[in-house]
Amino acid sequence: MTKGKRGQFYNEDDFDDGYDDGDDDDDYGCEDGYGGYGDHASSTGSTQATATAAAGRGVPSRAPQQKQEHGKVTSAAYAPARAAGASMLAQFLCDPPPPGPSGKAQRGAKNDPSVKALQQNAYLVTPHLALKNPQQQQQSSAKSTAATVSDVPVDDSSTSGGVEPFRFDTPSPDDVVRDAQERRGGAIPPPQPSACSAAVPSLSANKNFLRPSPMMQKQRQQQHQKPGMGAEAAAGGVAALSLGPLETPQGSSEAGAPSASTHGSSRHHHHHQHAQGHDHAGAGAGSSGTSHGNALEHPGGFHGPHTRRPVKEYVLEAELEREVGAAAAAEAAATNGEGDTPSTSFSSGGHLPSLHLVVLGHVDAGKSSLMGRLLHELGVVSARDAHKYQRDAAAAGKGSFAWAWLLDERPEERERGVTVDVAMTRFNTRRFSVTLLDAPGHRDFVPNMIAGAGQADAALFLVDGSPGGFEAGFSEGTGGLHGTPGGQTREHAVLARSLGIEQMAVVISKLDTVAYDKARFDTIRASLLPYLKSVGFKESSLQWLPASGPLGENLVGPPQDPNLAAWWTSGLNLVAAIDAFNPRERATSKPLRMPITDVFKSKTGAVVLGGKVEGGALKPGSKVVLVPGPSQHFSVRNLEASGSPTHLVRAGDSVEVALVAGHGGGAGGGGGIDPSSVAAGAVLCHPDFPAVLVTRFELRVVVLDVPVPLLRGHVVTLHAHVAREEGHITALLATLDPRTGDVVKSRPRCLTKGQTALVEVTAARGLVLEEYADYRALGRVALREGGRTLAVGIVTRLLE
Amino acid sequence: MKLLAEGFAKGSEGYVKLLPEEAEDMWHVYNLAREGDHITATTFRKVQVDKGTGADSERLKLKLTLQVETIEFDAEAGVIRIKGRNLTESEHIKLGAYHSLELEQGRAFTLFKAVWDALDIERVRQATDVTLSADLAAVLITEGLANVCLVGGSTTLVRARVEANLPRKRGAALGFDKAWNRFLEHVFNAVVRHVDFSVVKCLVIAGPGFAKDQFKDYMDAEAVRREVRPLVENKDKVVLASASTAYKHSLKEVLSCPGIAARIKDTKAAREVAALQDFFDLLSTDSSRAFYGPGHVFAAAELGAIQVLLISDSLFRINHVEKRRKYADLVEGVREAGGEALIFSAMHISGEQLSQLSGIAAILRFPLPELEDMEIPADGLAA
Repeated sequence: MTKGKRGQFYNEDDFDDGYDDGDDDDDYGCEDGYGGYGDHASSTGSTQATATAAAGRGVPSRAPQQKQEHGKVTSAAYAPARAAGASMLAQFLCDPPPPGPSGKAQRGAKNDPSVKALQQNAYLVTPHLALKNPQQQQQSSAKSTAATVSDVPVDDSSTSGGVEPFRFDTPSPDDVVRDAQERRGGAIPPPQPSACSAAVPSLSANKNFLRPSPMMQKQRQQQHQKPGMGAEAAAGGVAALSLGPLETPQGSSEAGAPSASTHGSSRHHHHHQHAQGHDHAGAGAGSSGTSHGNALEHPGGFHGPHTRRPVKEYVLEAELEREVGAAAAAEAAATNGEGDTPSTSFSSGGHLPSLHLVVLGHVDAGKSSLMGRLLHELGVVSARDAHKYQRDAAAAGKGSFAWAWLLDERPEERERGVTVDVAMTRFNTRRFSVTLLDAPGHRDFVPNMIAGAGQADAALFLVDGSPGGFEAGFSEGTGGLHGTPGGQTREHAVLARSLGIEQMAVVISKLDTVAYDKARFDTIRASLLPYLKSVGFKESSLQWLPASGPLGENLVGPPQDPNLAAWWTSGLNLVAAIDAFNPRERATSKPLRMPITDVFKSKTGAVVLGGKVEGGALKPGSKVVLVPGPSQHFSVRNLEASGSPTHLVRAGDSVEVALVAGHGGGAGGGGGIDPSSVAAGAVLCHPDFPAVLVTRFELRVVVLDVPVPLLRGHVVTLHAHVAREEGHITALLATLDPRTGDVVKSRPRCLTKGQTALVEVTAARGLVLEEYADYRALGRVALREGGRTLAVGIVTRLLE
Repeated sequence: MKLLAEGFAKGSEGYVKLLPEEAEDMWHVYNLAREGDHITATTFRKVQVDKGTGADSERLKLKLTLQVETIEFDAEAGVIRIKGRNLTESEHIKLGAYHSLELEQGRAFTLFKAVWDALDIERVRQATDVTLSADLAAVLITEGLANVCLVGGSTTLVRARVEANLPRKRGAALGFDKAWNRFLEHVFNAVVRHVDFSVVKCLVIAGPGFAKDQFKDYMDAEAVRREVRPLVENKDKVVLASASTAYKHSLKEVLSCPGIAARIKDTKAAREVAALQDFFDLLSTDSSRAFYGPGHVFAAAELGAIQVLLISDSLFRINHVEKRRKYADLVEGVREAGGEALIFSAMHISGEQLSQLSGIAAILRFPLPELEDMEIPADGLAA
């Protein structure tokens, strides 16, 4: 099962690698850069996964596990890359030397300098792991000896040591603090009889956190299955309840969770105890991480608000996992049973895979109009409403904007005929439950577009086909300080790719102005394709079609206009193009992350947070924390997707969440959340694996069309997922060879167009970022200044 | 700033008596006063007075001279706190006793220095030149974020930062309208409170998109409704400009926009922005003529290659006499050689940017490609 999952997981990387295929001889720097960092991340990601997997496990089982792990990785994940005809580079990347027994990458395995350079990150990280390792081994062996005596307190203390801060190559201030805490005796030395008695009060306190749940019973059964365990261990089992035991029928989807993959039956017993320990510490941290009252009850399990547990340690809660599994199965069933006609019945919406679709393009290409008409054709907007909008628009002298008014609801948008903010609507096609994000095309609102595109899985890319329209959008910016930036056709394409959109349908609109001339369609396609390839799109993931919003041509059915029908015979209409996209793999195995895009008050007065879940899953009752936000836990009161309540959302879904303050949350307990304390850009996190606010981080960037070279100290606006912040480049660390990732020049004086580089960026105030290897959506950053996108990149390291 | 009395010459000891009048003057004072200087000013001190009914403490107004040990500057409040040892003989305070005094706007003080260098003298001239202080107020606004800034001759102060969480548009967009109006109201209040039209030459409303237009409409309507006289009377001083973001660094775009530049063309801020842009331009076209970092710049200066020197005043604000003299010599050397030396204020956005670039940069007369790629140690000059 794990194997299958992994295969899929890595397939996305293959996608990334894919555009290094030899099908493009264009020597544009960007392409290589993108390919380079996609690869980079995937290779380090896998190395880390195996390395931590090895480290997190007991000594005896390591060797076989290692082999197994490696076997999986090569067979399931990497073979496709080769099969897909990936370039030499991609193959190199897909072929990391198998990690040695110490968890350290065997550099001898492949002594190629390019490989070494590409694994730069792993290279930094692994020595640290190796150092940590002996300690770890001792701890785990201590654990196994102590396990039968007193399970809980031991694990409680040792897991805080077992927290692997692998992401930092030097001990962070937090690590130092934590080490000091441990040394001061917060950690109880393993096999002491007194620890037993100490455990009792903390356990009883522990039970207070637990709310009765159906899982209790299951847990009790498990206690019976393990008669050898002491009373404390059993209690520990109860403590682990809220987070769930590991023995679930589908311990499967844990691509990133090492412990889940170690279900060796002979070691079952010990391992289970370890995992309980982890979970127990997690529960301790969960309740104490931010509220200090509880911290007293859990001296060993205390995690400061900034202490991070590696994401890889996360194990999906059993209850959640069961539901996630069920939902995935239902979804698979819905996908396979493609008998339905395109329907708008939202009842089946829960089973369709969700697809976030952003509409991009130069201003006035007709994005909003096309989408408005599409909604009408799909029956989401009734004929009566459509008629009303048409009448109103005509009355306002904006008849041609009637369809756009469906999405552009704000008065200034209607008045000016320009989309300002991203409009979000939902509809269902045969294959997908689509969340449509209508992005603004105007240059001034590119930041809004970034926020929209950052959530998207695929894009509709509109190109104005009218005479002069395409040329305006596709114009190149002029250089120099006072030059004008280029058209948004270019900028949107680059941004879309750098924000993680791999598949696009290019819709050429307004062809009615040239009587649906096939030659015009072909010309545009011919001039756009090389550019899109150069910025990193793969030809096979692009679809091309003509369509017209206001006239409703080629949206749902075949084209009606004889001129168009004469040559557009492939039958590819807009809806078919949407259905041809691939859904994105859901990252449900990672701790919860949900960037907040929207905070508003519902009709009932409750404060509702809207956003897209980027990792993990949520159900009513789940505990969450907000980063940044009040230092308080919340639990989910209810969830709404597509305007109707739902019992579960998984990574990849857009959702609206109403929160209530968690119990023990201080004076304001039981109340809602103050809307003014949450800003768009905050992230809803798993309480045991909270995100951190970073102000300084390392980026691997591709420098785009910059008017002046980038220097140290360059002031930029940072855009990451929904968050925006001002900041500046604090150091130019190195320029890299885009193809191999080798350091070309360290500490360069400046960066010029097309270069790939490692830079260090400092934000004026903290924002939530994650390393790209952990969460793609939260690991991408665009640097903008003066209305241009200067550079785009991925987060390689969080520094402060 | 008013110059009440002066008695100094370059290279020798002397004094100056100044009267700061606005917040920006405090910045100049902060840059003038250094450790070891003597400052005479009126101040208050709590002293124990025996009136026969037991010891009583009383707050006395004294005129003291201090030998400066530490200087703290609060830009937002416009106050400088000086801590030092007393040099005045008085019945209330011992010689050599520590005292802290505050320099404020509207309070004259005398500054005595053992050595006046060229930079100090230039600073005094600049600070007391009325024509140089031309103020500009800017409201940088976008949806959910606004910065109200005052741009003076040598300082840019963010007077108010207004942030609001605007819900996304949906349905009838009721929540949005409400939040938006509240946001505009906050910005409006900030403008009324912080923009003094008797000082400010013009008020620029800048930002991306339509938020600036909407704010201007709102401001005009509200000014009439609430009868805010200064705003109604100075309607013609309000200018719209475009900027890509509402962050402070976008002021650069506002200052270089032709319409605004014409209004404030004599201000130091505009000159600095232009000079820095020239430097960046040159860096992209002919990087061997654009140097930055103390090592490179000093090396270029030795060869007499510097045409325009860009240097941040944060480099001078050091107590290290040697280092300061080196920088002062550099500035003088460049000027003597017929070059131009621009001293950037670290309180301007352009100065902030220069500070990030190590605080010193130069445009060269002729390219020095052999120096360009060389690593030149800064000889401990890095600030």
